[in-house]
Amino acid sequence: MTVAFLCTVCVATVLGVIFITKENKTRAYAIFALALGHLLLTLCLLNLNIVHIDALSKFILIIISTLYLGITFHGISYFSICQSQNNNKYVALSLVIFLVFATLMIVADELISMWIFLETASLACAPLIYYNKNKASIEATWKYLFLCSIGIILALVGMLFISYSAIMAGASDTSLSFENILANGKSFNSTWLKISFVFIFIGFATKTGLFPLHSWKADAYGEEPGIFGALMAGGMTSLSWLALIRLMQIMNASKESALMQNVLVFFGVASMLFASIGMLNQSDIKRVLAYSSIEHMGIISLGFGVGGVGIFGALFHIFNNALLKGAIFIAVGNIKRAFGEKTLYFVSGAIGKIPISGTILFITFLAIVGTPPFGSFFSIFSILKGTLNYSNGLLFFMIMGLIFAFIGISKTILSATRGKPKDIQTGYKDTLGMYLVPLVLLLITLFVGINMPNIMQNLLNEASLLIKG
Amino acid sequence: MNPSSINTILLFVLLINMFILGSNRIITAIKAVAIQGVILAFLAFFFKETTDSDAFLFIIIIAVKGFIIPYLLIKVTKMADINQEMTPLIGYVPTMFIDALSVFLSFFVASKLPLLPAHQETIIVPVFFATLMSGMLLIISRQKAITQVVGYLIMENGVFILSSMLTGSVTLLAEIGVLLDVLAGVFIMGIMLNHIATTFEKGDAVKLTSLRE
Repeated sequence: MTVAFLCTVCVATVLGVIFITKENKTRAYAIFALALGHLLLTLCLLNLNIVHIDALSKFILIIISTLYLGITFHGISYFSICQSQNNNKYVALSLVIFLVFATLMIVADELISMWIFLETASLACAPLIYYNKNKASIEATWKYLFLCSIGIILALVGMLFISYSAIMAGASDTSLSFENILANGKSFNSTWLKISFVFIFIGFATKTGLFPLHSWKADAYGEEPGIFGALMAGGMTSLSWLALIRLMQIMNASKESALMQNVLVFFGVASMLFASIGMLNQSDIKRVLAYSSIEHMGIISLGFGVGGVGIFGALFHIFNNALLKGAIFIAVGNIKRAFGEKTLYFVSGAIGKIPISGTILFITFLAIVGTPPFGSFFSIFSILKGTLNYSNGLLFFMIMGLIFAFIGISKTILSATRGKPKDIQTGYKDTLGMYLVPLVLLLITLFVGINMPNIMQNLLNEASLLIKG
Repeated sequence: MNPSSINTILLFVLLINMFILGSNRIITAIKAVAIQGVILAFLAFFFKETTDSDAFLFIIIIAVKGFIIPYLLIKVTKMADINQEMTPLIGYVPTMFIDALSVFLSFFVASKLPLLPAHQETIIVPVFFATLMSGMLLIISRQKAITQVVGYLIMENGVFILSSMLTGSVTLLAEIGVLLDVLAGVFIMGIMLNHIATTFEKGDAVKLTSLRE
């Protein structure tokens, strides 16, 4: 109770500051303070037994808290240097709403309340996409709002079907709490469970951005500022993976895992192949990153689908993907400010023009494609190993996907970072505040790759045991 | 449980779906969706003994679906000066025909699904599927962005049919939470509609096609 009360007071204070002040900078500091408070809350939830949360929730909570702290720290320099004229009241409000509902969604122990919180958190992202207020950003926001709203309505339908399958089985408790479903799922009616799986999967896969349901992703990530792209590509996707993981747990508990595995494998491979083809002919750096995000969603989905060591790899990859996407979107934001544009027609030789951000972008690209000794190498390698145990044919498709994606992303990033810089004067200079966050995020993935702390290893093992059921 | 009253309400819902797909004025469609939501609010009273919380939920639904959402949408239509014509991509008669087919399909699908005896006497499951499909049909067959919001609301009404069937598993707080989320969604969509209408011509969704591969 005390914790809930303290959290409410903190959020109310931050909201008050956001509404009262007229300075963009003060708002940025207020959100950063909130992020620090959230980190404290995360530490409390991890160590003290205030609310009962399982290893999966803990894991995603750590990701969101770290990433949000980084993004809000970057936000201080972003809002005071680059965007001092553009009023950030509504964006700051959305960021606060996002954090509050993301946390609630992570600790939720019931399907429908989880749905409500996830939907609110994703609605809060709409003003972030709309930040630049031009034609393209309107279009991207509308696409995002609409596809995600419709997708998530289908997820709600699926959840209600789970309840109906409990009613059909004559269960005494038909509430949608995880505890009840995981304990009694075996006896539920299997036809309705399968139908509900299809609906919930479509709903949350839209939010995750798996292949046929991805079309909002390139537009939204491409049009919003890099700092918000970092939040969505890293944070929002981790949240929707948590929702999908809950679905996997339910299907495993009710002995319907065969259908689920096939669907995950199929969508995973399809997303990887499609996204790598989509990357090949792109000149817009942020859109390439959006396709790379689709590809990595595919890798994670494949990892969960093949099971075994793949599940460990997929969970670890959620962590790496969140931090690396956070780093690369912020770095690309810096590059865009230095050149004034984000297409390859204008951007080249970033390492020569802004050495630090350019180098960070280049190294993050290496980490994203899975170069050792970054954490992403080990997660992708675990998924490869899981795929090898599952089937050889699948391994072929996965390696093809990885190679194509490597070609696609390297073509863009290499020509953006190497070569002779174009003579464009925008007056932007790298400062510590602008490149510290991507650097730290990159170092964290490097650190977990070289020497994963025991706590994290245990948490990941515990979490993958929960999924296996 | 009162099958004949439930079926009467659900038939009205089907007719309103058909009416919206056939109407060519946007404000008429917004009002029809509001009426559909209000009619559906009565559904809960026929499923079980009414309690205080049901009455409370009833009032909230009437307020949100019957007054606040249509008020917001009509206000946006007038503020943004959106043309009243629906501008169909698929003509009115063909859409109504497709909708009739989807109703037929829903009844066919529902007859194949395992249902409780109590739900077999009513047409609740087929009407749920038909309403979901009508909403999607409206979204894909009309050009303006605001009609897509109307389609979204029809789909939401469909979900409400399903949730009122499941007495006992969806709590009051969850119902209210879903309703508030829909309200927040429509509110943000309304703001966006206003910006679309001022930036593009007359809120035309077909113009939203500059971002492509």
